[in-house]
Amino acid sequence: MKELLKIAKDHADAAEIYVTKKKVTPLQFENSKLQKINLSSTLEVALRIIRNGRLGFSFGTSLEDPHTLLKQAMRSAEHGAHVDFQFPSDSSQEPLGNYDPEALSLSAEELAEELSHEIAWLNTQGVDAPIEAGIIVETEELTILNTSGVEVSHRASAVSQYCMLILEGSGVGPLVEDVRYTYRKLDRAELQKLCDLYRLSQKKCRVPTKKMKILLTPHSIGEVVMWRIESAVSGRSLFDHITPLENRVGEKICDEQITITESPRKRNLVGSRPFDDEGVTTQDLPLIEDGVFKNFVFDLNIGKKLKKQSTGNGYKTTFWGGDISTPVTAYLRQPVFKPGSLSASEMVKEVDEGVILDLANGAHSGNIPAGFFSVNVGFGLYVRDGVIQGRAGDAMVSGNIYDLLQNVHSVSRELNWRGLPYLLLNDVSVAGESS
Amino acid sequence: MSFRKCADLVKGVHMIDELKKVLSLCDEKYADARYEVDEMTRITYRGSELETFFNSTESGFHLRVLAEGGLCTSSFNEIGSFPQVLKETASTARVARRYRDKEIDFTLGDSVNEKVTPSPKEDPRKVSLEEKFGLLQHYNEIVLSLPKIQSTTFSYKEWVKTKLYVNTPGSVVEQQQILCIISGEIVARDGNVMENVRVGVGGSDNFGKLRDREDVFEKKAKIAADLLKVDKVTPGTYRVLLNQSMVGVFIHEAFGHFSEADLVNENPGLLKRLRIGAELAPGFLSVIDDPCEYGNQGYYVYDDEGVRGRRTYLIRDGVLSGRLHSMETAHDMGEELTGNGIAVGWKYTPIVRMSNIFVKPGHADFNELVELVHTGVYICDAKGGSTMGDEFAFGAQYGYEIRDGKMGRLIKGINMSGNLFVTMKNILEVGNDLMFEESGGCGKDGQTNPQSGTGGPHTVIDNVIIG
Repeated sequence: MKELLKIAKDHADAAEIYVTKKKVTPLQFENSKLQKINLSSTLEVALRIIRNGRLGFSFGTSLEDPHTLLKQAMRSAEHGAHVDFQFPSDSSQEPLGNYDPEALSLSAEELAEELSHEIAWLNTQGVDAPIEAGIIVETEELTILNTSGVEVSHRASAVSQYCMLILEGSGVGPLVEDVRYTYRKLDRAELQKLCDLYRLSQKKCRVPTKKMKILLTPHSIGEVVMWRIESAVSGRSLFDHITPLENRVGEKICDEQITITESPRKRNLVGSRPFDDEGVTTQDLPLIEDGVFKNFVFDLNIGKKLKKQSTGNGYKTTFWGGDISTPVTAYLRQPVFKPGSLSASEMVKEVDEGVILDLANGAHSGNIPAGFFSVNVGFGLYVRDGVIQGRAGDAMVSGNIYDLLQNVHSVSRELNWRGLPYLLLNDVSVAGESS
Repeated sequence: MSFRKCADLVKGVHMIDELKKVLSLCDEKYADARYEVDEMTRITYRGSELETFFNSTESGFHLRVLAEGGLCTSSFNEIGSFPQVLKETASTARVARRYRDKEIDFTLGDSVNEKVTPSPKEDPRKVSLEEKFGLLQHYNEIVLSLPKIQSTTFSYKEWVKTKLYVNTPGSVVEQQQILCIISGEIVARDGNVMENVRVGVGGSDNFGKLRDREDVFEKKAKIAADLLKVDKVTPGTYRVLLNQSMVGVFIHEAFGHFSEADLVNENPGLLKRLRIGAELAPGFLSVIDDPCEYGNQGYYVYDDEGVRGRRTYLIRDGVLSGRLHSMETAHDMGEELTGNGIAVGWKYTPIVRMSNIFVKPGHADFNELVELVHTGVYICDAKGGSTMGDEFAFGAQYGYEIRDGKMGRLIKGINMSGNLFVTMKNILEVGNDLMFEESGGCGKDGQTNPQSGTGGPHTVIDNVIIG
């Protein structure tokens, strides 16, 4: 790594090396049978240089051939974008409590044994459903070096667990999901709730075409609401003038029950990071506070263009995903909601007529920059008079999040593993099959 | 062995010998190994500014071992670790066997030893970088000069993949695949109203398909601007006419994923409804998957299991007549190999993927289809879609009202959804104007496949939920 930095320094005005080492052990049961196990152990490296005011970029899968990486970055810089930012000269590598070496010591056999116990227990609960379940253990070590003096490293682990009971003749059903930096058995109470939901879902209900309440679960809020907010608060969208939040810092944009804070430094959460993908120290930053829009987020490049400091939000990520080839852009890392006062089950009782939208199908289409969504109810439940009636039949839920967040009934007191709540919205447009 | 040596070896037969040598250490029932070098070129403009340009290469190995009825795979970078990885992969495969009631086995393809070299009409590797920049800038400037256009994101993307495949029964396949595309997004804005549309051309190894496409970019920019002042569709249930782009995405999302055997083989309830011979659609409907459709995005000769691709009728005259398979699912379900085991790069294991899926054209012309709709919606140009169980959902970029058998005003905000089985039965007619999409991709199990082709003729469907 240091050799690459040294030769890059000789040929460029500034340079940055990004190296990620990942190890993944995924175990997945389908129809209660363990499927093939796809192990992976990979190293990827990216080089950014600034030469004559232009940005050069290259990437590869080995540090053993630094000259090829440099040659490709120099060629890229010959044609590259004009930039005037500088790489940071100091950075934090404070551990954030999201790495557990013990998680790695679990063998594939031990993980398979644990999962098969959970499945055996589910089979004793009188639920006759094909079960899909999995445990994925991942570790990542990210190292960033630059010619301004930063040399930081962060290790993180993630143990993802999920379990879905597949409804007859379908490919979906109720789902429980948990992701932590360390291994913890899935909660039996959660699995019991899954069985209860499966039984309730046996009846398929026709959903009328009208405006009604929608209860977004943490699964659906991530795609339906957060993708649109992530697009809107990005400094990149501000620079391109394609955010509805332009010139609205300090303005009330939604119900005062909504408070969302970018929380990359929150301890023990899987996504926490002491520094971003440019080596800039991260910070917790209010995005929406009591309904008032507070901040955009910036990376080095866009921050400089807009005469702002980077907020430590330069990531190789978009909502379509990201990999070593993805250019750094201004993006949220870990937005966390402020919890409300009602429990999710109390919120269901507040629904006179509505749909609990758990799995939203098609959230990635629609006019995302403007906040519109229109999703099919992949898995959801129809509610009347505060009681779940059965699985919601063919229906679409649509609207604009900036309109709907003005009309919030309540936010749940429980947050999921990534800080997302249940959110009950009033008067949402639903198109059902019986219209 | 160093990276540089590996990169040199791939140019000749040496890497094949290395892979064979390592596999000869394996005394399990079956093993195969892939080595892949992926060269990617990308130029991206956002608005009038260049955002990124790179030309870089990734390479790595993927190993699969079938041991005592269990299957394990490994992705890794360093050939030096191959013997150790082989040992670990085999022992993990044996663990996998203990947690299933049935052995995993493979239906093997014909033993082959073949080198596939593409011969593009106009090879993008021979086009200068300056020309690639120039063409992308040219299209970008055309769009940005039009009224109400706020922002663009346009990319030139070129992939050159060199793949080696070796298995223990002795097959060796070396093939190269090339794909180039110009695609992106246009955002129009008027005050607080913003609309976005997508555009894409190319989708083959022929750079010539990217030239002289000004009309496509101009048309899309104009539509984006026009959408600023039109109404959203009223949610409800409609008789609809889908254009070719929408039909391609519809057949891919609503039906195609259920023809992928690995999505149905462990779902007994769904499989019962998708048995070969089931009447799924009206008798005039046929659906085909064909990697041999040269010039379209999903073209390939061999899949990533060394099996030659072939045309598969998935629906013939309304009846489910075939399914797409990997070696594992073909054995599991006792059906024929189809050559659809695809991995999107060395980091991934092959899974069942569509290649070029399309609806076979019928006889009706466009005007007849509009008259058949009489009152409904003409839905145009896909904007992404997805499947969840037997429910599908996808968006359209724009549409038109159809009233009294005539095309009406432009409308926006169109998303359609439904249930596979119900919607397939509701297809009323297919047109005679088959066309393939030139850009787009498909995500499944964390693998985003840019080599995924879709197509179809204009098609009328009854009772579609629009939201």
